[in-house]
Amino acid sequence: MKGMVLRGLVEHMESAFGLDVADKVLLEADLPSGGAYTTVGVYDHAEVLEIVTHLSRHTGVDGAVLVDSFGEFLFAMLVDAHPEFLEDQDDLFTFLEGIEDIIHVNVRRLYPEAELPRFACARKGDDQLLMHYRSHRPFAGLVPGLIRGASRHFGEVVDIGHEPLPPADGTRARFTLTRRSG
Amino acid sequence: MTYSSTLEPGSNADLYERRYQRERRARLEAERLLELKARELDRARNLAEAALNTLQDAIDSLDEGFLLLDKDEVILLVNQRYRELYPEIADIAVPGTPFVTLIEAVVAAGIIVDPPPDADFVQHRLDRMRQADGPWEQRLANGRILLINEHPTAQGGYVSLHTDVTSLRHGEMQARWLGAAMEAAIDGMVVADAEGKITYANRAMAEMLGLQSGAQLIGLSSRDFYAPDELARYDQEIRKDIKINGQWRGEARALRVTGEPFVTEVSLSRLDDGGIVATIRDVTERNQALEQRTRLQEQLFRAQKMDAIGKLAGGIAHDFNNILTSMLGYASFLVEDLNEGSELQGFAKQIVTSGNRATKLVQQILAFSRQNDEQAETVPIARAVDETADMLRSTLAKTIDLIIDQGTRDAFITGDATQLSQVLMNLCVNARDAIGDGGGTIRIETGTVEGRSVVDEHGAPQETRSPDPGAAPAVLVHVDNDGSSIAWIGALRTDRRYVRIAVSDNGSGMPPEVLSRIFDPFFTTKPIGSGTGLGLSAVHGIVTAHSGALRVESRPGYGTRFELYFPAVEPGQTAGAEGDRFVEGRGAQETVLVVDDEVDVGGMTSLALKRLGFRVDHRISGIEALAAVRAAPQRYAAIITDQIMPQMTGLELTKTLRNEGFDRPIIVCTGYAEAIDEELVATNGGDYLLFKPVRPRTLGETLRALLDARSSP
Ligand code: HEM
Repeated sequence: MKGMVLRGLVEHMESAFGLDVADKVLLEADLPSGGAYTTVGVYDHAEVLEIVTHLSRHTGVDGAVLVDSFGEFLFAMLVDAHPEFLEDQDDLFTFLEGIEDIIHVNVRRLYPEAELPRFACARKGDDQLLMHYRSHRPFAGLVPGLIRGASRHFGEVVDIGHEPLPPADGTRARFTLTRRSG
Repeated sequence: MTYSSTLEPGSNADLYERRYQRERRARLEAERLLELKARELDRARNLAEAALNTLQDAIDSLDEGFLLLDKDEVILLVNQRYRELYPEIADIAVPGTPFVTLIEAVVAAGIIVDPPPDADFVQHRLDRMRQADGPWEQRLANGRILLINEHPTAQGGYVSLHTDVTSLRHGEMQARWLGAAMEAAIDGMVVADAEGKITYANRAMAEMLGLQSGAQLIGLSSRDFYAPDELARYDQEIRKDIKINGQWRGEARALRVTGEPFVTEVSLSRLDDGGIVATIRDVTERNQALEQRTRLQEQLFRAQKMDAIGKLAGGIAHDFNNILTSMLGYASFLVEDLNEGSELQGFAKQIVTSGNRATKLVQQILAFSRQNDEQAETVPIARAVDETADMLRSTLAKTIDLIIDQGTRDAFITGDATQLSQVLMNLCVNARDAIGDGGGTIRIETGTVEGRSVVDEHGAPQETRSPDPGAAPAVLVHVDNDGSSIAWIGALRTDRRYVRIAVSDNGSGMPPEVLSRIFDPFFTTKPIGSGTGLGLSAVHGIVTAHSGALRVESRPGYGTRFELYFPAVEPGQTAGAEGDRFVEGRGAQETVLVVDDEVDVGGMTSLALKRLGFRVDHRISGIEALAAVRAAPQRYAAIITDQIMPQMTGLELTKTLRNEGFDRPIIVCTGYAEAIDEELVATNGGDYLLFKPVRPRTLGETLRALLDARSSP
């Protein structure tokens, strides 16, 4: 996992729960990296899960909720780093349909060591988009937050249905996005 | 608030210190990683640079101009060769220049002449590259021809290769011209590789050998077309020559595909690859023409020689004849005057016999030199042959068969029967000698034949104009492959009928070099002492004097055949009958004037006439004779004059006397018949022409006949 993502997670944790909590989590989690992340480094994705697990224990907030909110934060952070991917984009669905072929393809060019998920999208009527998620890592939980972040960027409101697919370990899922009219 | 030297866990200071430490570690890690990255990048850049240099080296070493364009059609790579091909735009033929700029510069500089640099040139040029429509050629103003090959790259760019094919195209053109020139050549041309296998042959070569096209010869060995002895010569001499000098020229006998040999003039030159280029000329015809020319020159030379010898012999014979005439005359007086049966009369008779033999020899010489004193009469060929055959039979050995095959008994010629027999005897004696001791056959055949068919079928020389008395008869020798040769003497007229007498034998035959000389006077193959050498040249002279022709064909080991051709005549065609002319030649005391500058000849003639009963006056020149006649015009019943005399010839005397009204018979005698004939004598007013030596009997009979003819009504 890219250091950028882990740095984002730590930053998110510090801003949401305070330096104190974040420090405790990082001490307890006893991470191989010691919680010292640099954007140019690459770390085991399991550290993400460790941090989330310890944060949940410390704060009593459900891990899934934590991940979800991190997703939203992550999107904002990615856009910050790569505003070019959102230039000329004015429609959420079209933008999402391009994750696989436009965004992540170019992400791989920039960061050959990045481990990216695969998305397959399908329109269902004017207001519905089906997104199939598949990854070697269990980060399906990040998706709704990322989508929410994106919809906020476009000023659109969508209902997101999350349907884990077997083996239901977070590596496979189907998301149904429905535009809320009005 | 208590401060301690060590930060307690959970304290804010602690917290910030740990955060700071984490951040510091992260930064060090980042620096380490970036350092690694930088080194990695360095390595990658070095690699990339090396790769680029290698690539540039590679494309610079290309013989082709090389241009690599990116997907925007901008130059990424270009090699030196490309700049050399287009020196006018070399400064912009560098990475970063858009291809279209390059093309526009090419048009502006007028570099390309074909395809024509019209208004659409740039667009067409770009389309062409984008469509990669196969290799095409472009001709530059400097004369160079470039082959251009373009195709797209995987990255969406293009590769453009420019190959200079100028010399290739020129070479191709030259090869085409050269090929056409060689095909059109008259001489045969062959190129063979180091192993002697033919790799090229032109049409002339093929046709010379009896084939249609040079392609039929490719792959064959040039050795297949030469006789084994020539190949041996090649291996032993010619090959060495070529090795040392690089070339060889000479004649060689080649073989056509039929196996027929022919003579070639060959030039061989060694090629760098060990092969050989050969130029071959069929010189069969040229050699034949040369041979013919040489032969004609030889003939002309021989004819001139014979003419000279003839004149010489004729002159000597004339003098000799005169001496003989007087010798024989006086000897015959001795025979008459001496006692019958006495020893002295026997001696005198012997002188006459020897003299007669000498006369015959002189006649032969005269015949050869065409001083013809032949007696023109109608000769029945059959009888002449029979008589000759009778004489021959008694002299021929039993081992020789004589076969007479008379095709007709109705063939006649005008001529001298004695000479004809003499010719036949000559030929038969030669035949006998050619047969030798082993035995064989002599065959005499007679018949008549049309001149036209002899000319057409036997290739006889054709008489195209009236014969020039000064021109020597031609001797044409034709040599066949089997060693047989044919000679012709004289020519035939196609509008005439000829009597043919053939004498053939199955004796030793003659090689061409002998055949070509047998008519030379004094040429003989016989041992010294056994022949005079005049035999066949006399035959030659006699046949020619009879307006005839002669053909000899001989083949060594097989025999010889002589064919004599004489103009055929009808019996009785010649004027006058024998009976009328020859009467008892006795004088009746008429006075005859004898004119001869040679005292002994004139004296002998006078004596002979006196013995016959004439009275005789002898004068030794025309002038004196003229004076005698003028002094006493009625005194002479007849005049007998020699032709050749100083100051005034016999004919001049005759003419003068006739002009002065002398109307008695005049007989002209000549031993030297230079264009003197009966007609000439008659136009000058003479009555009769006699050839020397004149026998007293003949003279008497002629004189008597002329005198009687005048006195009868
Ligand atoms: C400007 C737009 C985006 C950028 C630049 C971006 C870039 C990235 C990067 C750098 C990672 C980390 C990969 C690694 O560290 O191995 C990542 C992971 C991820 N991205 Fe994006 N992303 C963008 C938008 C989105 C959106 C809109 C979605 C979802 C709808 C999405 C879904 C994910 C997920 C689920 C992962 C986690 C890895 C995984 O599941 O295997 N991303 N992305």
